[in-house]
Amino acid sequence: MKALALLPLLCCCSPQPAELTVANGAELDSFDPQLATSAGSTRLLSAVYDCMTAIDPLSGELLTELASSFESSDSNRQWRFVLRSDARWSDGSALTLTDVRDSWRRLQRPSTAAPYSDWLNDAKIEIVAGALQVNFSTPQPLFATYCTYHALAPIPAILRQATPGVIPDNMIYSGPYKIVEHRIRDFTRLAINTEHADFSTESFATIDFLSVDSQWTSLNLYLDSQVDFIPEVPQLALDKLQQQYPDAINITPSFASYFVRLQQDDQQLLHNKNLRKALSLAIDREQLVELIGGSRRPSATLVPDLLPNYVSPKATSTDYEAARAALAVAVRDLGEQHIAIDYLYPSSEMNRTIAEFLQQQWQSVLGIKVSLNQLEAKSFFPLQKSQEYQTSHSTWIGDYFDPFTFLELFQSGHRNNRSSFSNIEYDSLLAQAQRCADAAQRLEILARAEKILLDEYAIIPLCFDSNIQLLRPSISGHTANKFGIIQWQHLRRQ
Amino acid sequence: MNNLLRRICFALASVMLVHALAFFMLHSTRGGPFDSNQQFSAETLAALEQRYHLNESLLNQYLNSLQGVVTLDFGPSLQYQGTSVQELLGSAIPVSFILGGGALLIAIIVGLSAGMFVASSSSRWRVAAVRFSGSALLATPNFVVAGILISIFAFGLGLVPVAGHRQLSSWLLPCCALGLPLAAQLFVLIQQHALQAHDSNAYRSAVARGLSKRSLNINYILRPSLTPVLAFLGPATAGILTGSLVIEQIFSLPGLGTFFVQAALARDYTLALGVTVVYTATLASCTLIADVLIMKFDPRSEAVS
Repeated sequence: MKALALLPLLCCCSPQPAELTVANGAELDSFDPQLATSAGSTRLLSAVYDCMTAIDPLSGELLTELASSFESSDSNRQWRFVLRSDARWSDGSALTLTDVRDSWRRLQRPSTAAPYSDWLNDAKIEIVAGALQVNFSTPQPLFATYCTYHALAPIPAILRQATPGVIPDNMIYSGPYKIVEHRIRDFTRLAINTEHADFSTESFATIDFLSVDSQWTSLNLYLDSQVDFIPEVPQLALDKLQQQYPDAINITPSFASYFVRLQQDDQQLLHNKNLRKALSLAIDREQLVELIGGSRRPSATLVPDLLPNYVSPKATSTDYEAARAALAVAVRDLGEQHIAIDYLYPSSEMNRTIAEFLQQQWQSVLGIKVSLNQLEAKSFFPLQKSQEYQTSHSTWIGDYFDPFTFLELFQSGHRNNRSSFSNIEYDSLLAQAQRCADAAQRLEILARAEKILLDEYAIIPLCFDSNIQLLRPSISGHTANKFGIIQWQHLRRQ
Repeated sequence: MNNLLRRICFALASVMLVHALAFFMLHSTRGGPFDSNQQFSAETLAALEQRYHLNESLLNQYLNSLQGVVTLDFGPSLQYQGTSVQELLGSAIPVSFILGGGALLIAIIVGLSAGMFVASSSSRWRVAAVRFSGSALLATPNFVVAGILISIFAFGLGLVPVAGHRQLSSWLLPCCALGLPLAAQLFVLIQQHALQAHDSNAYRSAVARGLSKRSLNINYILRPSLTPVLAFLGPATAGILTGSLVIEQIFSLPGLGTFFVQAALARDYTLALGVTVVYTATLASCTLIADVLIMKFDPRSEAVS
């Protein structure tokens, strides 16, 4: 019973609630911006670190943030960034070009083990004539876009010198807020950064990011008025919430895609393009999104239709007759009357629903027998990586707002390809897009590459994901946007 | 004393054995801590493996891990970067012990009282009502109990918070949700033994000697029923003190229970082994304490052991 004696102590030590409370999902994977990858980390780190560039949440345009200007030359092989003169850390000290240079060099170092170290690869980073100059050996048209992500945010010397992942005491930050307290798997308290260029006394002085594993518990906390903002609401609650809290709910499409990977090397059944075509055309995607609930949208393409100047090629979504005709050709070519395939997926309630739906569709429309192979995530990915499957569940969330983040997955030999798809023309179009200095023309080239992917039925697109947020109507200053950007310093309580 | 010493040695050996089994089972499972949808580059992967000594031979890794058990330094968590397993366990153990302690208290009070009531009551209707409630609770999983409690006491009556642990009253629902199903188990056990005691010759002769009702209940019904209750409570206490995944998730309590599943699923080897050792040590300690108490209440058991 000694433990019970701790009870008042534990409760007394809990601070008063902050001015704004956010249910931020599970505990962060890391507080080090160069190592963190989870959605919850991105949300919290966006409040405490400014980046060199930023995305306009409404127009999607690339803006400056810590940089006062940036430019590229030598066909996007060289990038130059000039820093704002008023850039400050939260202790009032100046944020300098040296901070940016050394942060990026730390990201490059193999010992940091940063997931996004590829973005700087073999780049030479130096300060030249009052600007940070980054020289790449190959064209990098997206480098300024990468700079909107926290992995490339400047970090202070104290963090650069610490063991990667370990956050030292007396940490300082560059964003509109700073972390003042963290209790493992409980909450992280942010306080307003008075040194920040956007500082306003009207902003929330403190924000609590609660670690809440279950989205349903987050919802209960919102209904119990303990939480003001849930950035990710369970999709299955959508209908009820729309009826009961129409003012609080925000639904936005998100830059994420669900699709099926097809193992298509020349030893496999699915090397046959007609079989791949039959499988793709036999799926009623409208029915699928209805079944999995929420606000997801059926898709016949890979790249989500959210980018202002990018138009994906037209693709046929469902056509049972064409599917059966393609199957007939495939059966003749393969010389197999009874085709059976397997479908590999990581275990979750929704993935199982998708798997069973695909099984039922392929069975009823095409007469193909499908065996389902469910594995927990950590066992699933090695199997998918070693391509020990025929068809397999896949999702991809764009790392940055450009079609390339999706299309690069299917380059020959890309480590995230995992399906043996290899097409010389596709690879050369992607390489051409990387070399192209004209932005509009570049997107056209990428659309042509996507057309090859779809014409070859290299994947089976299923649907685009969406995001549901719940924000107390008394809080203003946030416009739900498809980029998932939250400008914490602009939130106000009316 | 020799008996106790032997049991302590046995408990320590059990911890080591379970640790070794868990270590080799974890490492032989497909998938590693850094397998994910976003595949890391070969250089990043190599750097991570070096950082966490995963590039060393399995035997070396086991010896390092064993050293960690002895020195109680389990190393860094692979899942929560920059956080050590001690920090994680240190933050979670008090939460789980409070939750488990509260639940145990509720289970003992409710279970014992209901069991004694049934054994000593003469009202058939009341006994039937208590038995029915006990059976219903026994058949209800704790997450259903949690849902019912939340609907009534948090959303319906607004008496307690729906989740969290910032207020003292926040602990009431999770402790009840975890403790009531255990109370039902305890009730079934105690009523069975209490009824046997009630029918025994010792009880009848005590009644004939004209002993008071209180003395009869304590010495001739409760006392003989305690041995099986203590034998049951030993391992049950370890289970309840080391947390419950479902209850912790429903009530957003950062306890140990969540780690048992998450750490294994995330292949967070160090954390998974840390929680396994904590659980085994708690189980061994609780069983040992229960055995000592049984010997105290029922000296016959010492002769048998």
